[in-house]
Amino acid sequence: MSTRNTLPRDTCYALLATATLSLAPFLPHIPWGMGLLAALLLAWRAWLAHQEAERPALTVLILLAVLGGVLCFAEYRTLLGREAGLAMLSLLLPLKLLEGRSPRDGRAALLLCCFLMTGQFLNEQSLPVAAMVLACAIAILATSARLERPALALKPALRGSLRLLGGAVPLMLLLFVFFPRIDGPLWRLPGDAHAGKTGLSDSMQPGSISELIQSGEIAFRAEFEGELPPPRERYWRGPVLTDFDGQRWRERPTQTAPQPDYETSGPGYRYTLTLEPHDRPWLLALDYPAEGASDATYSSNFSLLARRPVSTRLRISLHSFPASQVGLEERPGRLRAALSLPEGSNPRTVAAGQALAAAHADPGARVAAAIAFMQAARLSYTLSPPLANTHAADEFLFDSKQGFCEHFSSAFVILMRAAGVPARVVTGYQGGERNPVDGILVVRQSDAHAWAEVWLAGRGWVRVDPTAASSPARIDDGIAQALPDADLPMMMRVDSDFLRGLRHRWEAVSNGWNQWVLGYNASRQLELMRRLGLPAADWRLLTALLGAGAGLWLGWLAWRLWPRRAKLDALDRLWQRACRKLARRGLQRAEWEAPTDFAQRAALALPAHADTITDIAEHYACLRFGPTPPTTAAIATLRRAVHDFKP
Amino acid sequence: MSAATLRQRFRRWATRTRTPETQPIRLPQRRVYVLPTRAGLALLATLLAMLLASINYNLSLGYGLVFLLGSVFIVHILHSWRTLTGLQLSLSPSGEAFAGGMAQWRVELVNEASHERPAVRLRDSQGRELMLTDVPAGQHSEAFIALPCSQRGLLQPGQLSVESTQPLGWIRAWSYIEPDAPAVIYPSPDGERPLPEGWGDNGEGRSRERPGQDDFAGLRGFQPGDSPRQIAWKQLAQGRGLLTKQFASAGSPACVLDWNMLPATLPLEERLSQLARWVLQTRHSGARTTLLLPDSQTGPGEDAAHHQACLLRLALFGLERSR
Repeated sequence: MSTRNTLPRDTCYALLATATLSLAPFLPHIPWGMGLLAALLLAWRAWLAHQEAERPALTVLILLAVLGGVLCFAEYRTLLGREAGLAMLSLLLPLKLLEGRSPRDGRAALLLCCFLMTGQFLNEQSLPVAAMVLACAIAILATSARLERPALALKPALRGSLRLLGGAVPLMLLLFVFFPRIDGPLWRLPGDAHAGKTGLSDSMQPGSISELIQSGEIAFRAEFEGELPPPRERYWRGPVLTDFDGQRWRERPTQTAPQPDYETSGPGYRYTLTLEPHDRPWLLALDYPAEGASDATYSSNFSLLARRPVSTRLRISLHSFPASQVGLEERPGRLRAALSLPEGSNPRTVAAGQALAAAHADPGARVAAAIAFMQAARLSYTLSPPLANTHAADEFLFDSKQGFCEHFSSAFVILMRAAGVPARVVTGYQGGERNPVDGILVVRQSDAHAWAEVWLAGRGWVRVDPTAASSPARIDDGIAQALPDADLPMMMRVDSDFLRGLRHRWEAVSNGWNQWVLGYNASRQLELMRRLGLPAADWRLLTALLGAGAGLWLGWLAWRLWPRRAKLDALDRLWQRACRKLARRGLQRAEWEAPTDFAQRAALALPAHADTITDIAEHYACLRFGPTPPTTAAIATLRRAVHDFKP
Repeated sequence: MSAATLRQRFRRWATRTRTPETQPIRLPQRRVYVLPTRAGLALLATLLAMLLASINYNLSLGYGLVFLLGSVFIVHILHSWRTLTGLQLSLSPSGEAFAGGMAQWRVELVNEASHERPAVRLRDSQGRELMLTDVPAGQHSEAFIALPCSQRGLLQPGQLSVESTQPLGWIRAWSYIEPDAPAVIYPSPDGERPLPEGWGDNGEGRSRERPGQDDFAGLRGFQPGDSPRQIAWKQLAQGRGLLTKQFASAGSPACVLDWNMLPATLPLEERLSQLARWVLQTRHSGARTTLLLPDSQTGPGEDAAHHQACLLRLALFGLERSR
């Protein structure tokens, strides 16, 4: 270890810059009090380095650590767990920098930075974060180099780190591809491992979907083999809501089975879904998935469910048949539940429904009449409907006449139930946008939708989309066409084609990144090996491949780095050549022998060539050690002499 | 077998060539070893923790970061190794050393390669850092090392380790050398006895008060070791350079530093120490001396070379024969 026990000022700055780089992405994720404290501590350290002052007393640092612990506990009610632990770590780093003064302390701080970066990936693993972490890794290498050699300037330190990285990147790629992957978790994830994900919920009340619509975040991507289904068949089924308490729609417990209880028919679509984690079990399959989905169950209301909540990005291959007839033989209990309405809720809507029942005997005719009723009401589709009171459906249908898909579907279902037709609300996503760059259908949170289903004897559960009836553009052209521009987030607007093109390109890149970098797991690894013609790749084969690849690369690198003598100039090369010629005659020049001394010895040993040898040696010595640099002509003369020299 | 003996065995095996080695010593690739430093081991432990976290939370980029830093670690091995491989060292004793003090060597490092060899360290067998220097590409650099010397005689620098932890300090590359560069250790000048009787009054006294006024013989160029008393200050002031006044020595009686003058009861080393002190005293005053030892006579003489020869005699007295 080093004998130096203080850090030079420049090294302190380098350490601080590295720490700031690794802490910056954390600040938005930790409580603001802790973030502020961390920033202040870093600033304090920088000031101390600037003043070349002593470190603060240990008691002060301990008090600060305790303060940090209190802030952390106030926010998370614990000091352990993922988020609290990371928040504490991000405070520990500046504290370590304040406390440390030896290169070893500096190294400990750098290791903390490495660990924090891994923590950063828990929050986000996008391309920009990867770039940020790469920059931070370079900073860590450069700072390590300066800890090792304080005299090193910033530029050579960075250049050296980049050279090291250049040698390391191919090795890293080999490791990334061939390192035998194990699918986690190795131990149970702490409860807060996936906090705060956006997505559908298992209940719906006025406003819950319009809130979701504000988000341009991607919900999932679908990669179709062959044709895409037309927009009006792109209904991605999420939770089905049957129970209504007058305000809120809720899911009803269902049975699940390993295969669907319906027969598929009509045209089928094969596709692969890549779901963003949303911490709920539903898989948002296109209506209606055929059997054969791996690691999934089929619920009795036709949703496809994962066995565990989707807590990491998930890929699943599916086959759907939108034209299938489902629920032909529905249980009476479920139909009863799909008819129940709370006492005294929405009296005007209920009355309208009863009037429909009186006018039409056939349930199918009642459905058509209800849609006609709603169209006649001239309802408008808007993201910002007026606030509803107790009887949301009444106010929507008869007073404000402004609503969003949840208002349409909710009012329609109440109308149908009052008319004696079993009906329920289905939530999920509708539509999606094809990315022209990679042809993948992207479905965002803003595509969240609520529609209705009615049960008709002989036809089973039939989808009715009351929103589509009033605002057909919503279904055919997507939400951006159906709503006035001012309601939409900037990137969702249609008129900015340039931004749209940019967004498409960016999302195609992100999708490749998600699929091939972030989603590279044990099964993807197997898939890749199969494509490489190695169907039975187990960890032994992978390790062997990895070893072979790494060995080849390191061998090449070692050959490149092998210490080579600095290139001799032309003059020295000629002299070496002459010496080699003599060496072949058994006259080896010793390291310490001056050219003329050696020539004297050689001349004695080879009297026949004495003149030539002396001539060459003197000529060389004269050019090499003479007061003026050798001319080209003089070197050429020597070259001729050496060339003609045949001992 | 204890760890210390194991280490000793490894060191002996590692040097492998005939020791001490003839100089210059060129470090061949097979004699350069690499192992992680403590900082490197700490990094590996951190990487392992990061890898476990990445597996547990399925963090693809976590894998990426671990693999990136791990690969840098591996590439670091090559870089450390090449910092030393092919480096050429030679040690030569430098300056005077007296028993009980420090002996100094000049270390010349020759880098024939086309890459820089930064932060090359030398350590003694106890692991103390002796020097730290950079050797630029295709150039020489020199540094000095000092080792304690307790006994007069010849002292080899012993087994030294050459090491480098460049570029990041995660990996240490090192090699053992045992160069043949004996330094002469003079006896430590000691003893309170005055200069030999009779000389102090005539010889030294005279030379001190009237430094050979009558016997001035001429000027010669200054040589290191010449007494400041003999410097021709006047000529220096005239801008003629540093010159030393020479005195016709034939007339001035030489002071005889005789082994037999010292009491027979005095132990050998103390006797040599006393003689060494006298030699230094006479050197300081620039006096003409003769050193008489049981087996040799040195001098008379008064220049630097003479005093050096005297000290050498004292340093090696009784050692050469036993060899």
